[in-house]
Amino acid sequence: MGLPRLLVRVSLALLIIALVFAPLWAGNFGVYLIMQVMLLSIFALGFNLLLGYTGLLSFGQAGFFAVGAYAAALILLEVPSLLLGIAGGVLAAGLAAVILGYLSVRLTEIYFTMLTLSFGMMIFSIVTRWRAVTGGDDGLTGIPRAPLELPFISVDLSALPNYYYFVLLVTLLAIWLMHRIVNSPFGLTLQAVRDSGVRAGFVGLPIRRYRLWSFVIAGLYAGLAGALLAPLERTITPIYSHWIYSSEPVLASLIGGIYVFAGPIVGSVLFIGIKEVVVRSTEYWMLVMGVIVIALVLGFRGGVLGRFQGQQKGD
Amino acid sequence: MTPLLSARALMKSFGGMAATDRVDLDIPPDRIRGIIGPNGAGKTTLVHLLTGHLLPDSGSITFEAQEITNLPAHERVVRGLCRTFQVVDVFERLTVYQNVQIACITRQRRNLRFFTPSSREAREEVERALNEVGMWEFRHRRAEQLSHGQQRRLDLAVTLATEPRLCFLDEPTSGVSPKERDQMLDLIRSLASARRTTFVIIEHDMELVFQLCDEVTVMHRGAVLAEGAPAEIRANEAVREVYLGEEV
Repeated sequence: MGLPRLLVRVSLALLIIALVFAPLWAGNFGVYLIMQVMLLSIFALGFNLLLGYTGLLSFGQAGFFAVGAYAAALILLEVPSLLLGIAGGVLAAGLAAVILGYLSVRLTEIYFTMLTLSFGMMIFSIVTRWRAVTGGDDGLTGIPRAPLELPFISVDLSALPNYYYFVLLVTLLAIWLMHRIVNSPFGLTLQAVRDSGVRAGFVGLPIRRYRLWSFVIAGLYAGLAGALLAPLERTITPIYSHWIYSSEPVLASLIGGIYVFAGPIVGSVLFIGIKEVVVRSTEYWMLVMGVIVIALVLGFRGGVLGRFQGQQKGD
Repeated sequence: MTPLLSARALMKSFGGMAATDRVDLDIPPDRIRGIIGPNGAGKTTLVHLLTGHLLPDSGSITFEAQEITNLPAHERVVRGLCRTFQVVDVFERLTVYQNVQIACITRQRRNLRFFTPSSREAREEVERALNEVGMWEFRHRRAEQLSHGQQRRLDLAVTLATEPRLCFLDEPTSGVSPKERDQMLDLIRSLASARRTTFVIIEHDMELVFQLCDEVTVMHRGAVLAEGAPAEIRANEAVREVYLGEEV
């Protein structure tokens, strides 16, 4: 066990160093792609707290992503403060998750999934119809990459590499925080609820309350990813609230492995990477992408990382 | 002696069929009680009602002199009323250690700690509970990797870690080998004398109940048919008739 753990730590350190110097070796487009991976990682980590750790498959996470993105955009268009925009986006998504989660966690399994799908599409229709606020199909444009206002100092983030460092820092923080959460008593509680709701009730757990907690944290993470996207793209359209977009964290988590902490992150790298290659080579990219995803999910039962972990332990 | 748990005129029907038919029941503390009856007699439904897995159509349940008739299961557990299921139910992907740990964390109401490692929680309690059922050496195994008999022991350890005052065991030896069955009986006996937990054993195997229990309730068609010490039940004509042809 000692050597693999050391190996993991060394690789992680090298990876972080490579990411810190990415603007030097990756070029603008490379940096942009890495940011896409980071945002999907945050989105998928939150989603997988629900699926891998709580046993609930949500198909409406794009709704919370969009609430985060639109709230951040609306704030940034009025007040040029990045932290305010991001915090506002995260809080708005969290609030939406409290309300819709309260209604959704009454059900489980396929019924829960269908309910989240409908709530997600409800957000989609609000976003497309409420033109006065959301800009309808055209979305919101001209979102500024506002400066980061800290006490005594204001950091300009308008250049892509500058914004990249901000996103990198937030992503690392979000990953670290999630790692703490899943290994805490709370994380263990969620896993007990996942394995057997009835048994969890009979150790004294009000299971709906913990499902709701999990749902809200997943919503906060989706909102964070969305809020970070708004200043990156500078344009937000309703596509980010569509259920097709909800499938991205689902696929990333399945590809990487839902029972391994880093599964959704590795899945995000593979998903964005493969998509990028496929989109360049064929106009039928969705078809090819689908075949590859099916092959990965069938070929690596338990996800790419889940497969490796299984081999290490010899089971 | 005031009973630990009482049920009065408890009713539960499924599609017009009374699965529990006006049951009155008193469980006194510190005696091992057996509930027996042929298949379909309504034993399990009764336990579902008493533990909050199902809610009754009418009637009342009191536990330690407080009404709990419509309380959800998890709140009954907090008050000291717990159970195991006929089909063994453990947290499969968690380790043996974590299975017991979750019960301890919940009893101590420490579930909403988000940022401290769970590995530090309840170490002594978990070790004691696992030693009690002889499962300490398997603590690193995942529950799904255990044999059926081991899972039964783990199930019992998880249940006991909630520190119940009253504990229902629904067919605790079903599906285990004869050797494991005898070990389980010894275990229940020693737990009953060592702890302040009162056990209620639900069984259709009469011999097992007569070996283990101080008092026996016999159920038939959703109602209580007879109640008394094992010797009285053995001699009861009505019970003999229900278990037609079987040597009681």
